Formats: sequence, structure tokens, C-alpha cells
Amino acid sequence: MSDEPITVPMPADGETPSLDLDDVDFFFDDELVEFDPHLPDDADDEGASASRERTRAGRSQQERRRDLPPEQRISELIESMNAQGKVLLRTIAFCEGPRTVEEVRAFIADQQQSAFSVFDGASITQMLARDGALERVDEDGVPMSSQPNEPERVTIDGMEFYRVTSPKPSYWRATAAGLAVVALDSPEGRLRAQMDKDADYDHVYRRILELCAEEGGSTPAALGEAVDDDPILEEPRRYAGYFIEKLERCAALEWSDGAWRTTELGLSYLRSE
Amino acid sequence: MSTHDASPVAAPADVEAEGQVGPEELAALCESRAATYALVSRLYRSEADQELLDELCAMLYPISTGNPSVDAGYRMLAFYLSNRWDNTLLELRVDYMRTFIGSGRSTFDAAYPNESVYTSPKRLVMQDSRDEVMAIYRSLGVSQAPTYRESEDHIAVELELCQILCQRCAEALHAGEQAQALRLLETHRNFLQDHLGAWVPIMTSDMLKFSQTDFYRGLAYLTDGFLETEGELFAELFGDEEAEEGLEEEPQADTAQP
Repeated sequence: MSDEPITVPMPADGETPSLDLDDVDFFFDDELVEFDPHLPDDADDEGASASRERTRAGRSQQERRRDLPPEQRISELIESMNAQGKVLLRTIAFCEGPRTVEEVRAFIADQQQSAFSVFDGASITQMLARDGALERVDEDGVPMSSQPNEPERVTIDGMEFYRVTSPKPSYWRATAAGLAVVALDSPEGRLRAQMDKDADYDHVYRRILELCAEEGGSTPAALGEAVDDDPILEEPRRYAGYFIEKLERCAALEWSDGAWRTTELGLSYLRSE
Repeated sequence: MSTHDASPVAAPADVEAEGQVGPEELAALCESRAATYALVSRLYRSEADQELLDELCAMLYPISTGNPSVDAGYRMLAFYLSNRWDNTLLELRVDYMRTFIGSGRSTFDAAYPNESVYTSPKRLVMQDSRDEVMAIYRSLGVSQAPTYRESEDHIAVELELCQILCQRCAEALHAGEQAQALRLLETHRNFLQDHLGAWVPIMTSDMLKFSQTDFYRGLAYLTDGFLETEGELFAELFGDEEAEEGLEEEPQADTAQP
């Protein structure tokens, strides 16, 4: 085992502990005499009650989420990941056939070249597996969950032991639910829905898309300068960042080489109406 | 720790079978117990890393020690490790966080590994229990390494103290210092009764609620079972005067062995 957290000055030969514990005058809070940690705390303390309630509520939410159909969990996960949502969708599509763990990590790293995320490939695959979009399979496509590996039993000097064994290599594969969510995903539909919802701001969206369609794209600062003073953005107060985020989530804008650039989808919207 | 010669748990059967405990037998038992304390302490100290994972995979896990909780713990660890894969370290880091740190939303959010949390009315750290164990450490001439940031009443630290007590006891027995060995055993028994035994069962119960890997759930069972066997050992050694005198006197010249 690695380094010890406690230094151990060893007593000299024949040396005995210098302190008889019966004589130690411990710090002692009289209140502890009344307190039995084994009894449930029925919360004379409102803070403790509220605290436990929050924990219970949090766990119930997790339990309820686990009861949702996988397609719904996957959709909610993708929605919650904002700009990384497209990375998740592309990862699911990438895993239509079994892929090694390393292949998937490399794919995600490549996708994140222009979309920084605090979630690395391992975390993203973990989330997708948790919500039923990916599963681990062996090289024959059999789910690993259906064939748990067992340790070996060995006998040494009459005593039986478990010896840890090595499992088969595993691969990531998209589930039917994951592929269904990918199939239903429609960036065009999302963009149209967003524009309908924010119809009053249509000219702001178009201005941003036009600027980002120019050679070299556009920077956040330049976009802010172009639209932040529009009177329609005064109440409620909005800035360019709000619209950039919406357009990115609808795949109408993407960040690359240090600038926001309009995608084909964004260009097709500009050409419409 | 990596071979069967250092099996983490030696069942106390040797003690019971003989009725008395020879110094060398007891020393060997203390060394074995120290190894188990070291293992369990390390698993609580921090998240598993690749080095620890490799060591754990190289170990042998007793199937039947005589304590069902210990057996369950070792079985869960062995099965979990036999199903490890590329993301195992990530899973264990996440589960360590989930089990012992929680999300910070409440004081009931995790199986906090500090004695003060379970022995203070408001479930806070750095309370009186910490002061008590610090006094015990000082009395034994040990102190926490400055590089280790956890509180002195963290379970890893308390378990490591027990490891030290076992090691010192073994050394005293090997050196023929039976009075010293007896004092160390008494200190250990008291520490188990007054501290570890008073709060760890609550923590391990919480671990089973929060942990989602068999690694940390197995650790909960292993911890419970091991502390049970420790309590049984001390009851055997100190339970009554006959058991207390069960430690053999050093053989005198021309006297037969008991």
C-alpha cells in the first residue's frame, strides 16, 4: 500500500506509553451524554428535518427518472447538455455497430475540438449508458450485463480463496432506444420551433446569422455590438449571447477556428421567407 | 498483501481452538489484523487509483472466514474486480464521491466518514469526537502527517491507528514484552468500544444506501464484519479473568509448556 497518513515515531525498547488513558481529561460536551447516535433524530431541529427532506426528494427524483422510458431519459439528457447535445447524438450514431472504448473516446475528443466540455469521453459514455442510449457488449454483440464474469476459486493450504479473473473485452453499442432518438432528431424542426417561439426576435436572429455567414465568421464581441442596442432587447433585457446559444442548440451556428459560423441549416433559414 | 501468505483475515479459530493464546500465535494474528486494517483504511482514505486496483486484483480473498459479513464483503469485491473494464476507475471515483461526499445539499446526503458527524447533534465535522481521538493519538505518540488533509476522526485515520496498535503489539510480543502487549490490546479494545464501534455501523449502514457499486457496498460489509471479529477477539481475550490470563507467561526454565 502507498504512503501512510500517520507518522509513527516508534517507542524505544522497553518504553511504555507515557499516558494512562484513564487519567486523560478529554474534552467532553455534556450534551453528548444525552445524545444517542443510534436513535433516529426526530428533528427537534427544523434544519435537520428540512435537510433530510431535501435528500429524500432528491433521491425520489432520481428514482422517478429511472422509471421513465429510455427514449424520454435520453431526450432529456440531450436537452440538458445544451451545446454538447449534438456530441451525444453523434456518439450514439457512431456506435450503431460495436465500437471499442478507445474508438469512442477518440471520436468524442474529436467532436469536442471546437466544443469544449467539462465532460470527457468516459463521462459522456457513462451518462449515455445510464440513460439507456448505449450498452456494453462483447465482440459477439452479447450484452455484458447478461454474462457477469466470476472470480476463480482456488485452494491453498486447505483454505479456499477467490482469485480475481480478467473479463472479456467490452465494446460500446447503441441501443434501439438510442438510435430511435437519433432518428427522430430534426435540427430543422428544432430551428423552426425556436423561430416560431421567438417570432418577435426574428430580425435579430437573421442579423446574427448574416454576420456569421460572412468570410471568417463573427466574434461574440462583434455580434454583441451589432444587436445588443436593439430596442426590442431592452425589456426583457437580452444580449447576443442568448440568441447565439439558441442558434447553436438548433445547429444553425457552430464555433470553429475562433469564430461563430453559420451552418448549412442556418444558411437555408436565411434563404427562407 | 498480494499473496495468500498475507491473507487479510485470519479467523480467530486458532484462539478458540487452543483455549489459550501463545505469544507467537497472537503476534501472527496481530500482524494479520494489521494487514486488514491497512487494506480497509486505504479503501476509505481516497478514491481508488490504478495502482490500488492492480494490487487488489492480485490479492486472494478468503471465501469462508467464519464471519458472514466479512465473507460477503470479500465476495463482492472479488466479483466486482472480476468484472472491471475501461471505465472502472471512473465508476469508482464517482461512487466514492457519491458515497462519502454527496452533493452537499444536506447533512444526510452521504455516508460521511467522520466520527463527529455521527456523534454530534447537528451532524457536523470537527466536533468533540475529533478532539478525543486527537488526545488518544498524542498519548500514543502518533500524529497525523501534514500532507493528509482529512480530519483526525476520519475513518481512514482511526483504522490506521488500529493498524499501528496491532503492529506495536506484535513487535512487543516478538520482543517478549507481554505487559506492553497487554496494555496495547487494552488500548485497542477501548478505542474500538468507545470510538470505532460506536459510529462505524451507522456509517456502513448509510454506505449501503448511497453506494451503487459492489466495491463500496462490499467495503461496508467487510468493515462491519471485521469490526465484529475484532470485538469477538477482545471479548475472548478480556471477557473474564481466565481469558485475560490466557496469554501464556514466558516459559521459565525447566517448566513444561501448557
